[in-house]
Amino acid sequence: MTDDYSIHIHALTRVEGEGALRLDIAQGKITALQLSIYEPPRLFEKTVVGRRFDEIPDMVARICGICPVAYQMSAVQAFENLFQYTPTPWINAMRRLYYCGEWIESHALHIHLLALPDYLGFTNVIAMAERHPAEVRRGLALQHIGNEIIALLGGRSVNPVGACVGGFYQAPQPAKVEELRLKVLPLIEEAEKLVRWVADLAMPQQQHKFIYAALHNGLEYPLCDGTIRVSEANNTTQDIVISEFEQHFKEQQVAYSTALHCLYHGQDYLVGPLARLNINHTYLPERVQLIIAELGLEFPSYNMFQSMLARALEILFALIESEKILSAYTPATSHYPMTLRAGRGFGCTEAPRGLLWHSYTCDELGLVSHCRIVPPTSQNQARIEADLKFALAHIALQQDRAAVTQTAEKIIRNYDPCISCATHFLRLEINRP
Amino acid sequence: MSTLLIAGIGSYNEGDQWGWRVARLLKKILNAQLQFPFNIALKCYRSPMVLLNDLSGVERLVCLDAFVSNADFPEVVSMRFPEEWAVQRGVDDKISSHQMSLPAALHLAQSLQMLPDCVIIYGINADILSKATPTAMFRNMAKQIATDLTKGHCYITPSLTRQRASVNF
Repeated sequence: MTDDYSIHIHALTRVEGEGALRLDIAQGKITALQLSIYEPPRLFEKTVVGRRFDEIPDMVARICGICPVAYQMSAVQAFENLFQYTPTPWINAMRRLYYCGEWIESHALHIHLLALPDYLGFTNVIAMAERHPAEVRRGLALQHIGNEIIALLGGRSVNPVGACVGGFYQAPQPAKVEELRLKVLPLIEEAEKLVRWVADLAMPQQQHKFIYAALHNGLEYPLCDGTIRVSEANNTTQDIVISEFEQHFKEQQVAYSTALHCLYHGQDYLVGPLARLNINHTYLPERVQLIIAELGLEFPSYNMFQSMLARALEILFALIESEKILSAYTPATSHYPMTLRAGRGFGCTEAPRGLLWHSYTCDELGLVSHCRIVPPTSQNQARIEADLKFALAHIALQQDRAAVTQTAEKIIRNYDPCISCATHFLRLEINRP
Repeated sequence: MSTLLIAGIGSYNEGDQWGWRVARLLKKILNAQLQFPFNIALKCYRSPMVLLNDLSGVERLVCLDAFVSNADFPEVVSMRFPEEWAVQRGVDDKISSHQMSLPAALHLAQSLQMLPDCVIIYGINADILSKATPTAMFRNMAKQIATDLTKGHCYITPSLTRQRASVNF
């Protein structure tokens, strides 16, 4: 197909938020490609100014209905960094557990409700469920256990409220912890089945070198702490302490999108499950490593279509990690008071979709005077566009318009973009005489 | 005795809370009716998809959710699912990682063959109500729904679909 034509997907479906894609093709080549995010900015960074530090974790959690834990954890880490507080091992373990819950529910939801219909030829999960009821039920069960883990520490799974700067408001009752552990245990096997099932799906074999970034701490698979490791296209790596994020990563505005594009030294880069796995796969538990070996998977992978498999592997990891933490659980002091001080603090954790960086400046009363949040979707935006250009040119442009459209949507969904998260910021420039 | 699940859908936010509020009142009213032949369970949900985890063993499902209509008076609309919904609205597949609507969640339950024999959705017009709305108004809505249920709405088999008019208060 060599005609000149334009494709305009006015509203992307099966992604969170409102976005569109404009694609111009002339003589078999892409002449313009714009992932346009038109959802209105939500101004969270201004909303929190003037509020006390201890209000912030619950406020920023409202940025995202699917990854509130990530927003809470990056915020508490930033304030604890500012107040020079080091969490106890118990609090660190509970935060890991809390975060595992979010990865499980978010990944299970993305795989089953959003991404899988693309690979199995269905328009949505409702149609897919008629042909694959057992797999969809398994997906819902996994998503549900993720929610239950969040609720154990957060009080509820949607907009949880249990986390605070300094720890958690309450330590869970041991009986509830054991009850949850017994629910988690059988689902580890189900997650293994999910990994094998996803690995069996026919995926395009598309290798395309890109820069990727994830937390790395040299001790364990990262959720809440570490430095930012960037693996560059020339196979070198750079470790960046989170307080120096702004020296390497710059956000810039593009005319066609209400979300900022974040670039690493002017280049697009990937964050999220595949980036985490590429950098940290050797820190996965033995059971996950055995499956990776058995399936013949190799990391680093430069095939973005393996993102869904990466999510499935992270579900398995998170269930194993949750069971380990729940097994070792004993109640302890759940939070400690802060000694306030003025200054700027930094937090960075691994949201299901990738790095989530926060920075807050406070006065000596703990009132926020400045806030900056860089969510994963704004970091992935430029990468999505680059991936679209590459993948469409290699696998789809010779097909008909419908196939090109379908492939483009599939590529975008691969990244599990959270557009509402990405559009919380508006750069206002006011010139007054 | 079979189980009837009253599912309030919504949140604490403004008009979105009316489903929860009327659901709680409805349970109280139905519990007081000794002749009502069901075990009544009540649960309030923020996400309709979570409802799918609780459908095992449920034979009658009553969902109460806020909705917006053109009416300039408080109204409750009842609809049997899927029969009347499919006729009036078609299949709703607005699905994102953050949102699965009540009809989409019920359609998914249907695809998974998890849907109870009888599902009734009561939509409460959220636009016209506010925090200042007297509790009596909500109690009246709950009473009307209870009457609607006890008159036989719960006893209709899925094959006996009938078109229902809006119930105005």
